[in-house]
Amino acid sequence: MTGPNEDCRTVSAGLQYLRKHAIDCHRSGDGLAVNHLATVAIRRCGSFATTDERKSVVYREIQWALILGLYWMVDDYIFYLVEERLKAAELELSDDPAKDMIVMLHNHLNHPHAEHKWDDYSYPTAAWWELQFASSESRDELLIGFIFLIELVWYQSPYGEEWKKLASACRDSCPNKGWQRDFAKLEERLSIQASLYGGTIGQEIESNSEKVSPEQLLLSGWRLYQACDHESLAKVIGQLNTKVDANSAIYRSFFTLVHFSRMHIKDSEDQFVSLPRYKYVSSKQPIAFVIQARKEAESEALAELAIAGFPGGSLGRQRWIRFRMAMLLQLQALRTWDVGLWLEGLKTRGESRVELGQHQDLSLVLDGLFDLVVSRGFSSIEKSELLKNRIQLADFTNNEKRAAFVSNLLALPATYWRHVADVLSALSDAIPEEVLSDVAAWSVSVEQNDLISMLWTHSLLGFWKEILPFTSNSTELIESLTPAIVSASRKPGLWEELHNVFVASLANGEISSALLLAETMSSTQCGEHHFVQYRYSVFINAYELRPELRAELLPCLEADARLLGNEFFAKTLQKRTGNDKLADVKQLRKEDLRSALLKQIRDRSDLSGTRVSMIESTYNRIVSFYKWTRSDEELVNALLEAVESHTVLFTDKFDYFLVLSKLITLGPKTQAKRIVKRLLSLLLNGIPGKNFGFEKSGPLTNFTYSGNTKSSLYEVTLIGLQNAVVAGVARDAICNALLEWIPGKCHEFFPELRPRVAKLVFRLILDIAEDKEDLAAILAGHAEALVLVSMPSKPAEVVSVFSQEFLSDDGVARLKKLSPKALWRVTVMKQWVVRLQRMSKHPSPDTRYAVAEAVTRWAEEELEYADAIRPVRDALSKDPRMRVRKAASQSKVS
Amino acid sequence: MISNRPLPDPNSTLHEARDFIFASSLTRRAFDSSRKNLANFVGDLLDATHRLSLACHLPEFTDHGLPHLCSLVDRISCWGLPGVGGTYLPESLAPDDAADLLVATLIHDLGMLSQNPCDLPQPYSPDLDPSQWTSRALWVRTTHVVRLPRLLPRLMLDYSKNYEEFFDPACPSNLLRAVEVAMAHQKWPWQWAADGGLDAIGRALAAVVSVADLLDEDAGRCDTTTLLQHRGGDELNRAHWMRHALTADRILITNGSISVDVKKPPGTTHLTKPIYSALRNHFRLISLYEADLRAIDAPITNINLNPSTGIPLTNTDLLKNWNALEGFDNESALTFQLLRTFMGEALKSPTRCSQETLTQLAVASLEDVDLAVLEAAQGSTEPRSPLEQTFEAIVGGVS
Repeated sequence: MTGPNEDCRTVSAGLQYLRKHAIDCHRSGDGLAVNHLATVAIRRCGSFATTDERKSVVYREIQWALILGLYWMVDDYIFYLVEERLKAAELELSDDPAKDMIVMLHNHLNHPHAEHKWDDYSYPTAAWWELQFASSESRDELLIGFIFLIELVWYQSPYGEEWKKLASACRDSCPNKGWQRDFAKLEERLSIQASLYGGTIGQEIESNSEKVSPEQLLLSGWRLYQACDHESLAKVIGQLNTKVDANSAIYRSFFTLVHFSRMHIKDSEDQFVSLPRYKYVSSKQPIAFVIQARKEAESEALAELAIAGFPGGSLGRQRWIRFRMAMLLQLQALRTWDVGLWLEGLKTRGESRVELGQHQDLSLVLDGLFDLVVSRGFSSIEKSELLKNRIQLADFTNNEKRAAFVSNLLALPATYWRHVADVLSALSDAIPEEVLSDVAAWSVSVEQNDLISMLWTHSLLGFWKEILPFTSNSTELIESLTPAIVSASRKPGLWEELHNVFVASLANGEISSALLLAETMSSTQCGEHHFVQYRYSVFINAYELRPELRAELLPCLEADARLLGNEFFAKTLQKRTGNDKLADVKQLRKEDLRSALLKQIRDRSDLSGTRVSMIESTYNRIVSFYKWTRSDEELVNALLEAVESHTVLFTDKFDYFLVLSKLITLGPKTQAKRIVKRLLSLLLNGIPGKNFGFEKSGPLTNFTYSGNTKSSLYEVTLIGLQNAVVAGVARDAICNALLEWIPGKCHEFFPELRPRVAKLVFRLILDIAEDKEDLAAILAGHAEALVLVSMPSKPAEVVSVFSQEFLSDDGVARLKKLSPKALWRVTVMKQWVVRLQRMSKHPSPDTRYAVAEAVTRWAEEELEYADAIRPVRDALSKDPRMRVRKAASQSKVS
Repeated sequence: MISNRPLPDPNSTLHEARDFIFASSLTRRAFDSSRKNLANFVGDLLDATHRLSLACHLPEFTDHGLPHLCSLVDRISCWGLPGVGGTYLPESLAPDDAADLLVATLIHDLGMLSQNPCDLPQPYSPDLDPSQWTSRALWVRTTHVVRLPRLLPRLMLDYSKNYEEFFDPACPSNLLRAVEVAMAHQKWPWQWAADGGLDAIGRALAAVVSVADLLDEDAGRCDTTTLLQHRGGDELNRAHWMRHALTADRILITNGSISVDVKKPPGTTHLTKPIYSALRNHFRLISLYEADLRAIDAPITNINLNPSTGIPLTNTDLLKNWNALEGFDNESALTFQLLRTFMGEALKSPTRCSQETLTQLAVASLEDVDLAVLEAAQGSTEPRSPLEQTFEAIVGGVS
C-alpha cells in the first residue's frame, strides 16, 4: 500500500504525461485529441480528489485540462465536467490569477450574454508570473488560457474596454518576451477584427507592397469583396495564390475568399474541381475535424429544436449548444483570418440569437437579424416563413433600438445591399419614422450606383411599397426618392416590381414630381405587351386616386389600351373614364363571345390530358362587360358539363368556374339557381378532373404535377356562392348545404379557403337573422368552429372577413336593425370582442392591421361592447406599424 | 599532409556478412547440394537484403537485416545436438535439406524489408490492402510472410534469369520448399498441418528456423541505449528496444540445451515480476517445436532460465535511466509497456489466445503471468486509446 504522498506523486506523473501530449496536440490543432485527454484527466481526478491535500494537487495538475478542455469544446460534455470540477474545488474568485482566469472562462461560456463583474478579478502581476516560471515546468496552458479569455471578453463586446484592459495587464506584467509579443499580436488582431461585426473590415491595406503578409492580403481581399471591387479583388487573389500552398495553414482561409467571390471573378476555377480539393486537403488537417464536430453538434441541436417546434420553455441545452458552437467556430476562424468560416459561425449565431430573442430578450432579435444580414444567412425572406415570422418580432422592440438597427444596416457596404433591402422589406412600416429620411437617402444613392447591377438585381426600391402608403410624411419622402423612382421608371422591366411604388408616388407626391414621373413613364418606348400592361395598371390606378393627373395620364392610357389590343383594357378604361374614344378597339359582339367560349370548351375537352402547356383565356375577364339578361342554356350546360367532367384538366376548369360565378350575378335568377345548385353539389361531393401528367406512357404515367389548381377552383366556387347570397339567390339551399358540409368536411378543407367559407356563413347569418333567428344561431355556432380551425394559420384573413361582413356599411346597417339580444348576435359579438382583444397583440402586423380596421369601425359605430373595444383601438394607435396606426384612426372598412 | 585516401566501402557490412555466412557450417553443407547456381543465388540474396535494409527499413522495427541473419545462421551452425559426440545440426542434414534450411533462414524476414503491396497474393482479401491499415509498420509485419512467394522471385530474377529454375515447380532443384519453410515461422506447429505442404523434414526445418528466430532475443539485437536516446518512437517502440536489453547474452543451443540469463532495470522490484514471467514463457515456447525437431534429432530438451522464477537479481546498466523515459514513470507503467510487447501465447492470455491454442500450450509448461496491470490499463468495458492506457498504467492502482 502506498502512502498519500506517493499516491499524489503517482497521479501527478500521470497527469503530466497527459498534459505534455495535450499541449503537443494543441499546437498541431488536434483539438479532438486534446478534448479526449482533458476528459480523461478531469474524470480520473474526480475519483482521486477525496482529501484536501489531494484536491490541491489535483487542481494544480489539471489546470491545463480545465483550460484546454474549454478551449477545444466540441459539445457540452466537457463543459459539465469542468463545471463539476470547479464546484468540487470550491473555486470562487480569489487572489490567484490562474484560478480567476479559469472561473472567468467558465462564466463567459456559461453566460455569454450576461455582464460579468470584474471588480474582484485578480489581474496577473509581474510577481505572480515570476512564481509561475520559477519551476522548470512549462506553463503554456496559462498563455493559452489568458488568450482565450481575452478573446471571449472581446467577443461579448468587441468595442468595449474590458478586453483591452485584460490584454494590457497580461502583456505588461509578463516577463516572457515571447508571450508579451503574443499578447500584443492578439490585441492588434482583435482591434482590426472588431470591425467585422459592424459588417466592414476596418483597415485599408496597401496590397501592392511585396512585404505584405498573406494575412494582410486576405484582409485586403475581403474588404474589396465587400466593396464589390471585383477587379482589384482578382489581383489580390492572384497575389495570394503565389504565397499560399495547398498544405499550408492559411489555405482554408484563402479558399473561402475565393469561393465567395467565384461568381464575380473572371477565369476563376470551376467549383466542381475546387470544392472537392478543398475538402480533401482540409481532411488532412486535424483542425478540420474539430470544426466538423462543432458543426455537427450545432446541427443536431438545431434538428432537435426544429422537431420540437422551437418550444419556449424547454430545450435550453440545445440552444446553449448552438450558441456556443457558433461562438467557438467564430473565434477559431478569426485566429487564422478565415472570414468564410467566421461568416458561417455568424449565421448560426444570428439564427440562434433570433430564436433566443423569441423567448428572452427581444433586442436579441435585432442583434441576430444583423448577424444574418452580415453573414448573408438568408437568401430570400420570401422563401422563409419562419424568418418572416421572426422578423415580425422586431416590431415589439424598443423604437430607439429599431432605429439604431436600421442605421447600422444602412452603413453596410455594397455586398450587403440586397439583404439590407430584404430586411427593410420585412420591417417596412415598422421602420421608425425618424430614420425614414436616412433610408430614402440610402435608397437614392444605391439606385444610382453602378454596383447595383453586380448584385443580380436592377432595383432595391421595392420595399417602399409597404411604407409610402402609410407614412405620415410620404410627400417629403417621395420628394427625396424622386430621382431614384424616375430613373427606375425608365426601365420597363421594373414596372411590375415597382408597380405600387409608382402608384404611391403618383398619388401622394408633389404634383411636379408626379407629373415628371408620369411624363417619364409615358415617354418610355416599350413594345412588349407584357410590360405595357403594368404601365397601364399604374396609370389606371393613379387616374382613380389623383384627379389632377388625369389629363396627363389619359393619352397614354388610351395609347396603351390600343397597343394591348385587348378589349378588356379598352372596356376598363371606358368604364373608368367614361370616354368612348376606344370604341374602335376590336371588341367582340356578345354572340361572338359566346361562340368563342363554346369553341374554347370544346377544343380543350378534346385536348385534355395531352396538352403540356396552359392556354390563357381572356374571355373570363370580359364576360362582366356584357349583358346576360336571358338564360343561355347552351353555354351554361357546356360550362357545367366541363366543370363536372372527370377528364377535363383542372387548369382548364378554372376559366369555366370564373365564368359561371360571374353569370350568377349577370344572368336571370333561374339560371343562377341552377348554377348554384350544381356548384353546391361540387362543393359537397368534390370537384373531379385531371392533373397534368409527366408522361403519356411509361412508369411515370400515373404521376401528376401537384399544384394549387384544385384550391383555386374551390375558391372560385365559394366566390360564386357568395355572389349568389348577395344576390339573394338560392340562399336556403346554400344554407342547408353548409350546415351539412361544415361539421363533416371543413376540418379537411383547404386551410387557406376556410376564411372564405366563414365569410359566406357570416353573410348568411346577417341575411337570415331577421326571419330565422334559431337558424342564425346554429350558423353562428358553425361559424365559430370555422373560425377556430382557421385562426392558427390565417388569423388576418379571418379577422378581415368578419370585418367585411359585420362591420361594413351594409353589415353595420343590418346590425343596427336587428335585435341586439338575439342569441346568434350575443354569441358572435361577445366572442369577437375577446378575440379582437387577444389578436391585437398578435406578432403578425397583417393581423394587427385587420384588427385595427375592425376595432376602429366597431368603436366608431358604437356597437355593443364598444367600451371594451375602445382601449384596443387606443393601444393599436400606438402600434409600431404605420399601417396599423393609420387603420386605428381611419373609418371605413376597405 | 593531404592524401587521397580511399573512402570506406559502404558495402563493407555486406562483405563481412557474406564472408561470415559463407564460412558457416550451414552454408558449407548447403553448398554440397547438387543445386547449380546456389552459391550465386545466396550471394545475390545477401546483396538484395543489404540493399533493402539500407533503403527500406522502417524505424519502428528492430533489425531484420544482415546482422540478424548472421546471428541466426550462426545459431543454427552451432546448434549442438543432444547426446555424446558433439555433433552439430548442419552435419546431420542432407545437403539439399541444408540448402533449404539456409535459404529459408535468409528469406524468412525478407518481407519486413519491403513494403510494396504488389507482392500480395492475387487475388487477395481487401483486408490486406494497405489502404485498410492506419499503420504502415503493422501492415508490413502482418503481411510480410504472405508477400514472400512473389517478392522473392521478383527480387532475385533481377539478378539473373538463371534463377528461374529455383521457382519452377516442375524443376527438381527448385527452392519452393525453402519458401514454405520460411513462411511457416509465422504459425505454430499445430497450424502447419492445416496447410499440408510440408513433410516431416520440412516441418523439422521450419521448427529450426522458428526456434532460432525465437531465441534471437538478446541485447545484441539492437543498440538499446542509442535508440532510447535518439530515435523517435512511441512507448511500444521503446518497450521493444528495452526488452532486448533484459537478455544480456546471445543464446546458443548446446547439446540440446539453452541457458538464458535475464537481468532487470535498476531499482525495480517484485512489482515487475509479470515481465519476467512473460519472458521466461517466451523461451519456453520453443518446447512446442520439440516433436518436429526430433525428426532430425535436434530437440531442445533443457531450457535453463536464470532466474527460473521471480525477478532477476542482476541489473542491466543499459536501462539505468528507465524511469526518465516518457511513459515509463514508474514500475506499473514499465510493466504495462513491456507486457504489451509479448505475444498472447507468452502471456498465456485467455483473451488473446483461442481455447485450442491454450490447450496446445500445455506441453510448454508455461507459468501464469499476472496480467492485472495490462488489463486495468486497457479498460474492461471499452477499449482505451494508447495515450489513455499509458496514463492509466502510470497512475496504476491509485484510487
